[in-house]
Amino acid sequence: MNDVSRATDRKTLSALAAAWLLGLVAFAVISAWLGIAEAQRQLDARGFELQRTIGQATAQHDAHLTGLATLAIASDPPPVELFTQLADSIIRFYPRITSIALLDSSLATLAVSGETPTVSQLQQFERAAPSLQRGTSTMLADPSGAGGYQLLKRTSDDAGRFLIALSIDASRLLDDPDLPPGLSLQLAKGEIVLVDDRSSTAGLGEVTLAGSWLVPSASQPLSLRLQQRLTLAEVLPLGPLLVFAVSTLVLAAAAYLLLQQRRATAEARERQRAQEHQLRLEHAARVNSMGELASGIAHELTQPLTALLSQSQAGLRLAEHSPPDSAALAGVLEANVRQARRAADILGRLRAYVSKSPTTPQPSDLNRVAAEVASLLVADLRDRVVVLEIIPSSEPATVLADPIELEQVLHNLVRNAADAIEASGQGNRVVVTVTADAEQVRVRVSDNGPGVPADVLPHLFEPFYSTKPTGMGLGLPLCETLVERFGGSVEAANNPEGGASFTVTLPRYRGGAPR
Amino acid sequence: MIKTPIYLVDDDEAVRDALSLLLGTYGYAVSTYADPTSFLAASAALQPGCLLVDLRMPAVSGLQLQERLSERGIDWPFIVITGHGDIHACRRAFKAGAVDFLTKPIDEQVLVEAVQAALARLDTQQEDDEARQLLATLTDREREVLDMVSRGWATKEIAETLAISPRTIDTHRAHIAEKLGTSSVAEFVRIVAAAARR
Repeated sequence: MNDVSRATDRKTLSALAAAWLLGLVAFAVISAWLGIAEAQRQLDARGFELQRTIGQATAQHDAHLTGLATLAIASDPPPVELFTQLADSIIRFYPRITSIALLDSSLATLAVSGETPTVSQLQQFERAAPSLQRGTSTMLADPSGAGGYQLLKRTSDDAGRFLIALSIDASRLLDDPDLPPGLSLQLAKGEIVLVDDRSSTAGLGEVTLAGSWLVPSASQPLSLRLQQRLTLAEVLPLGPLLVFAVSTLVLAAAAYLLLQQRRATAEARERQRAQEHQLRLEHAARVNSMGELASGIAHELTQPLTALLSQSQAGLRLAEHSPPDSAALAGVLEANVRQARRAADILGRLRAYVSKSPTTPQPSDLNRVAAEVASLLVADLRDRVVVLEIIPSSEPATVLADPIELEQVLHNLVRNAADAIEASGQGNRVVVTVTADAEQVRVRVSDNGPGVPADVLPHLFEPFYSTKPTGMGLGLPLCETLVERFGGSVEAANNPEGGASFTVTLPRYRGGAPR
Repeated sequence: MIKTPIYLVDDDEAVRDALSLLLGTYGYAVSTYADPTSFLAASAALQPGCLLVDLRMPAVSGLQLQERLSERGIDWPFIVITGHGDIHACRRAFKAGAVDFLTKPIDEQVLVEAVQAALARLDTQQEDDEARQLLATLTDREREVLDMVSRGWATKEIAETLAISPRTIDTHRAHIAEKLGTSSVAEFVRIVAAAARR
């Protein structure tokens, strides 16, 4: 891994870490907010529930009062025995009702169940009784709020002779074992606080939620207030946060690894592409090298040939002398022998190149070779406004030959055709047709150029015979040599419709599939 | 008679040997140089001759050699020989003043003719130089008189034009004939024309 990708790695890593932290904070804030909202919802639900329960209790108080009042005036004198029985059973059944008393108009106690009314309660009754209409009730509460409240009802007989007092322990109204910790209650009648279960105020890192309700009772207009203290741990459950943190961390790590792998893959692909490009270039250079080789060989051959020619001509002139200078002539001949050997060495190198280089005949598909040559030449031909068309054979055109050398042959034939078109300004098209039958595979390179002059045709495959101003005359002979090495042949002909055709015929390979 | 030398500059020893041998059989005196640099180093002390230079040589090409000689005031005729029949190189060689442009392998006949042409050009150059040297010995008045004589004017006409006596003109003509070594008007014309060439 190089420095650039390492830096990219670090960048990716810190970006992912930042995203993870941000996500974590967001998760904490949102879950705390949701937790608070849920606690508030629960508080509201509990408040509503309590209000309903208290409402029911107050309604029961009203019903008891009505029942007791009705019983009190059922006979004259009032059936104290029966009254007490009923009151006893009510108290037994409703522990919040601490006492039931039957009083006459002078507030003398006729019957008592539960606790006897206290003096202060009696004093309150005394103050309230005169304004109490028959058949109605009133709620009395100790200003201190201690000991709950009393309900005082005057019987509905004509004189309203009796009063019924009901003492209620307000704290028992809220007797709910399910109350969660941290919840405090306050029950009040107007200013008078009957129950105050409020605990200390919220500490550090705690949240307080509150709500208040009015009990829907005409006789007992109580107000309920709830307050819930929540610690941060309750609001923000550590478990889910931890789960979220770990799972997102795992996700981020996975994302990081994925990104890294993707980049590694991309880099590898880039490298491979560069490598392939390099291979193609080398390939093209190799295919092109035939022309360069021919040019180089021609240049090298020039020197010994120059020496040979001039030495020989000098030798001829020396031989004309009489008597001939045999020592000088011997020198000439020795020089000629040296130069002829030098030329032979150069040709030997050429032969070595042709024979040594990739002599690995292998099953090769000529259709593929043609496609390969087309891809190598496409840019060059486009520049020369020559259209190259490849018509592959329908059957596999497999021959046993070196694909690179086949490419060199085809490359040369197509280049020749394009050169002829360009030089003459006639034609614009080169068609490479691959055909295959049971015995042979043929590649025909045909153009619509000027064709080959009749006097040139027989010399086409002679080395150093060229009609091009810069040609070396080695291309076609080399093609022939290469093709013949694979048991094939090259033929040149003019098309009846104009232009020239070069046909390479090779024996078809009948072994396995081409590599 | 001292033979006019031929200087052959080619980096290929076999080619040098062969060409100098062949030219030797024609009686030419050939000096060979393996590279332009060694020829340049020796050029100051050499007598005028004709150059046969290979176009493509390592370090300094045949045409660059010609340029450098020209910078040193040496403008001997030169023949370019090359292994590449490149039309651009050919044009550049002729533009630079080459007598001929020969492609290797060089045919004997073509080579000999080119050498002869180059030598002829060297001769002409030398004649022209001599003519200029001769004319440089004349006084201004003598030069004036010579120009008019060369144009075919009679003594009387010249005397009238220059407003001097015909007798004086005759004296000038006598001096001119003495300095140029001839009293032939045809020779006068040739010398004046040769000096004016180039």
